[in-house]
Amino acid sequence: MKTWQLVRVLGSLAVMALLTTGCGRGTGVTIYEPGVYKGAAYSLQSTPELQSRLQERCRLGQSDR
Amino acid sequence: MARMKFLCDSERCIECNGCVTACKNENDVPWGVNRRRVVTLDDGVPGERSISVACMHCTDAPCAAVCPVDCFTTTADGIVLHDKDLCIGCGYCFYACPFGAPQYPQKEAFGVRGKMDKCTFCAGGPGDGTAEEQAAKYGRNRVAEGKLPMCAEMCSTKALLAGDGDVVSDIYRERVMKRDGRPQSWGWLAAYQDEV
Repeated sequence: MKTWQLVRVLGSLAVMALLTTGCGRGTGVTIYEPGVYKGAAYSLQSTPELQSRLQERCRLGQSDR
Repeated sequence: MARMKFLCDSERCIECNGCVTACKNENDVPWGVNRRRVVTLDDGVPGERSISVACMHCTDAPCAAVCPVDCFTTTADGIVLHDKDLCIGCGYCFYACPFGAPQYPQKEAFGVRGKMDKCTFCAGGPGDGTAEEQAAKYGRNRVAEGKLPMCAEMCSTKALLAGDGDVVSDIYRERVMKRDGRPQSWGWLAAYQDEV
């Protein structure tokens, strides 16, 4: 093979490689991490009294009588 | 600390849509927005099942992970809320949510989306303001009054349970034990009780 033929083949391969770059599909999963909350604060405080009221209401209202 | 959860008992749900109506009525949800809806599988076929679906207040909420403006927060009780003042209505949370919970009111012509709206577990929303302002923006805050979400409290068959995850799981476990492994919605026992 002459030199100019070798250069031509290699050049063609380089062009093909450039053209097909980025055509594949990645198999990795993108995992997002939640950022830091930037909104206003939630004002309702979760007190033990409120918790027990909600739990009692759940037991009374949603269990079978 | 409690973790507030919903659980829909598919053996009991009769697809009455009472939960949907109760939610819309209680929170004055506009037309086109459904914070809760009933999904039926194999509709019309014996063995069909319905479940009531809304925001499940995920522990690791994907909506919060993808939000570009970080407007999601999880309260001490595990309720996932978002700040409507920050929300830009981009729709990323809708893509990320496996339940299709985020909703977008159509505010203008040409399909322009408004700020995202979703179930708040009837716990209002973040930020200060009068009760009326908060209710207009996020809906009623029943949790502050020691009440549970309206959808669950209005459920006629008690299919939809809402509350502290420990209590909800206790109630459901008792039901399953009582059923003895058989569904309650089909079969002779459902129709004739003990007279078979």
